[in-house]
Amino acid sequence: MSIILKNVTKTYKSREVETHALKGISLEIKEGEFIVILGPSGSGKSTLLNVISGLDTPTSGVIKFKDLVLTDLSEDKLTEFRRNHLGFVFQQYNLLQNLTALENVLMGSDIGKDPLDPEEILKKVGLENQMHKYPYQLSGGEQQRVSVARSVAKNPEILFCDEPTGSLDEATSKQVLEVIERLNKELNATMVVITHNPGIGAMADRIIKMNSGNIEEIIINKEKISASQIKWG
Amino acid sequence: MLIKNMLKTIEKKRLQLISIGTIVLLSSFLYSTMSYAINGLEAPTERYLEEYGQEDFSVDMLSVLTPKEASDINLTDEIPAGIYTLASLKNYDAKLYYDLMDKRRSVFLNNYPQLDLELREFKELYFRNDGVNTKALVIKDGAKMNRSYMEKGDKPSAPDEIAVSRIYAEKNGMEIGDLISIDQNTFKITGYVLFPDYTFPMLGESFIIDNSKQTLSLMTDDAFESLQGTLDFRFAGSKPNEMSSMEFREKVADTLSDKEDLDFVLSAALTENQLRSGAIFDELRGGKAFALGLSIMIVSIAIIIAAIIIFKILNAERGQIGLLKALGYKRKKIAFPYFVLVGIIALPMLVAGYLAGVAAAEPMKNMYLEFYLLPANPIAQEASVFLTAVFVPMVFFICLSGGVILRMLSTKPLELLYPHREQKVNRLTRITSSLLKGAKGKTKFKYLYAVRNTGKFAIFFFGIALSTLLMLFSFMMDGMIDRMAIESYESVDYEYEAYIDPAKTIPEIKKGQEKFLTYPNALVGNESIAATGIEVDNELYKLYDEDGKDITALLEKGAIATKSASLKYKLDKGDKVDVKLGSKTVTVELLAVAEDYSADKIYFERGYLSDIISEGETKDLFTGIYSSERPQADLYAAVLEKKAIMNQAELMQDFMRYAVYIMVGVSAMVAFVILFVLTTMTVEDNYYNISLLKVMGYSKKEVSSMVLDSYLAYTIISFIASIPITLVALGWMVEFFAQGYGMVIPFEFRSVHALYGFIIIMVIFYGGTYAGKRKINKIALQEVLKAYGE
Repeated sequence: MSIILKNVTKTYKSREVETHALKGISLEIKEGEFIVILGPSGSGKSTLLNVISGLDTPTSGVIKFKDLVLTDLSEDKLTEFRRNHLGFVFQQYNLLQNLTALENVLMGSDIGKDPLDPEEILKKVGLENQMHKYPYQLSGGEQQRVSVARSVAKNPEILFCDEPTGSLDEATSKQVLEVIERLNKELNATMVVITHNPGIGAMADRIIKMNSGNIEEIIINKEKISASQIKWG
Repeated sequence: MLIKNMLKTIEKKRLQLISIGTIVLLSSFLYSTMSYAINGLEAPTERYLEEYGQEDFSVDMLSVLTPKEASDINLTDEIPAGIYTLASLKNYDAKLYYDLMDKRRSVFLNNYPQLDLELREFKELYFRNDGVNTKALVIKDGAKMNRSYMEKGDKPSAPDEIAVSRIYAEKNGMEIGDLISIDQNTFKITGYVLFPDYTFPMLGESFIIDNSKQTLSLMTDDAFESLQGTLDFRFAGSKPNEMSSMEFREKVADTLSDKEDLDFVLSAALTENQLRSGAIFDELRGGKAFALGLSIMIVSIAIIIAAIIIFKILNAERGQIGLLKALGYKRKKIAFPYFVLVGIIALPMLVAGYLAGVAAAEPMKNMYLEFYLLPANPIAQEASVFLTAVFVPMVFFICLSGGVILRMLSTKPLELLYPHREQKVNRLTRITSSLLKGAKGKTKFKYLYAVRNTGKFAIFFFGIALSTLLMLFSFMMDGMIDRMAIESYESVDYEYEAYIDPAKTIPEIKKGQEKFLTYPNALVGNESIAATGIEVDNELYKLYDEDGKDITALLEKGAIATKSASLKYKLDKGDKVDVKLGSKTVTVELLAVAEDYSADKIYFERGYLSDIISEGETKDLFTGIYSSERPQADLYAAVLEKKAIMNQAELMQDFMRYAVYIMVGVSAMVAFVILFVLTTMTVEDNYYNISLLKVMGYSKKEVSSMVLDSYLAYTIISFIASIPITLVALGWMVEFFAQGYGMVIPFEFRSVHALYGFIIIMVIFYGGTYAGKRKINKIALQEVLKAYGE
């Protein structure tokens, strides 16, 4: 058992207006599972990612990771939790522009308790010939693969990917997703991918559909397909 | 609407803009203060020096008779034994003295007929005024050259009248019409006088300039002649306008030693090389150049930082600018608010700095007048100063920021709306990266972070270097007076020195008194130096080397030079030196250098020096005594109190200390602003990266360290690099003064200066980056997600 959410809510208040971004979410994510969270804009999927990963605190409810009750942790402890257990990939590659691909990955491995070899990881994502290049010398897909490599370099137990293909074309997106898929299998890392592209759901163990701050539906994929087989749309 | 948006931007960046504004104000303030203060002095000074015939050069001559002169006048039988100076000759027979002076003048002019000479006589008087030891340099008025100028009041016309320096009178609460007692006589002050050959109050050899305890004075010629006091003289000279300084040096100054009939001439020095009369030219020019240079440096830093801020603002608003362009707004209309923003940063601050400068100019001018003996004009505003202080930097602000604005506005709307986020890597990053090969990612991030923008890094590096340089310069200046005067007096044990009056019976030497012999006209090569004889086993005037070791006993076997003479004339321990003493030249070994910057002297054993200058007649000559108790004043020509001289030097020291505080304050402010603006700007530029690092699990402390500590490392590197630069720059300055004016400025670098500088820079660093650190702590984790959000 990896993560458990019990009746998690998140409400944003601004002046007179209250926005209920999450309305009592309960969910369990298993170790090594590949989860895709689907939903339209405003459905609460990014808020869900934020609270699960300790980037934000829920208004109510409990989130547990193994023996840790995340909702009870201080800011510093949450930082430690992210440092020791989580990896993140975002739509924007967020590479550090004045570091090479390898150096960017080093930034990830430097803080891992049992980090992976950065060069090996770059090989795994198919960038063995690009590791000394700076971000501006890489294509968008390559930059996102560096971003993925950086996230997994510290050997996290869970990798959160928030719209990882949001800025990429279909072919490049598939390459990135293949990398994520392979790392899920080879490293047995739990993958939580947020997307609004329903096609990507087909490669997940479970699809969690969200709408208006609620889980609308959970679909278990009996037959997963590989990233290359995804129908883009 | 656009203006409203700009006002919001100002609100958001107010601290950065206020900081920039502060150094803009500082630059304009420095320039206008110094310019007006100096302009208030320069024009009247130039006019006064021209109208009152400032000498073009001066000629120092032996104050004793040469053997030839002595035999020509055939004095041997008439002058009592022991009287051998020209002052004594005048006391004995004034006509003989003036005939001799005329003869010396004629011989000189025969050799150099294109020049003119005029005798300049003066007497040093020491007296107690209201219980305060005071020195007066009474100068006999010139006929053509160096004529007295009455700042206020009238020239003395009766024997009991005197004119003094205005600053001396003011500092002692005296006014025209007041009475002043000199020894047993009372004089009425008739006016305030200035002499063109004393623009800098070096009324003797020592560098003690406290105008509250010394004054230039003018009396009637008769009163002058009847005054007690040591008579001294030199010749003031004028040269044709077409003779350049270089020509004078080549054709006159450097040829003196070749003229056998000019054996009574010691040296001829141009006014521009005389500290007492010519230093003012370089001081005024230098003061202006320093103010201009410093202002340019400070304002350049401000202009570049402002341009960077404008660029950042534009970059943050590029989407909005793109939209406006797409909607059909004209470039001029879009650019206008940004130009207003530049104007708001620069114009009020430049004008405020200028106005503050105008207000501060008068006190600054008065501060000059505390030390210089010059006429002054009231401060009047000038268009040229206003234009240089306000208009010129404003033009640069507009041009540089305008370039940035117009460049951004010339970008196509689509590119502005959907910018490429690619960021190329500069050469500095590549170099630093290669130096950090094999380092951890965190380390690389840390040190590459600050160098990613070459312009910002250069501003940072040179700004810190400039601040350090000014700070170290100030610290090194701090102990200068101490080393020049106070330390040398502290090292000796006498309390009084008294000078023999050759016209009186030689006083008996009492217990606690020790003889010394001074021969002021010795020559080492062509350079004039004072030869001083002291007893080898004396108790009151011991000589010490730089390690504090007593070296007085070495005089038994050779000579000792002061540090000042050693630096100026390149005399080193172990050198064999030819010293011309009267008609004799002796070769002595320099056995040590005494740690004394107060005067250029070469020390001998007194008996040996007496034997040489009396040409074997006697080993008992002496010109004065050192004493632990106050000697009976009426037995001597002058009695000087060590404590009084030290007090004067300490007053100067206080002034220097204020100057040091101001300079350290200015440099600290510049460093603070640079660190504050650049670090907060860096944090703002890197919201997403900082947020990302936090998301990745880096703690706040680690993030602060990675983002800001690189600045710490570069601050330290810049600080360390500034030390040798400062030392080289000061070395040049010391050489300039030593060669230009024959004045050794004992700047001294001590490791404690570096420590003080380091502590200040560190305090500034942590103070300046505190805001950056707070900003880092405030950056939300979700910032990294905001780029697209939901």
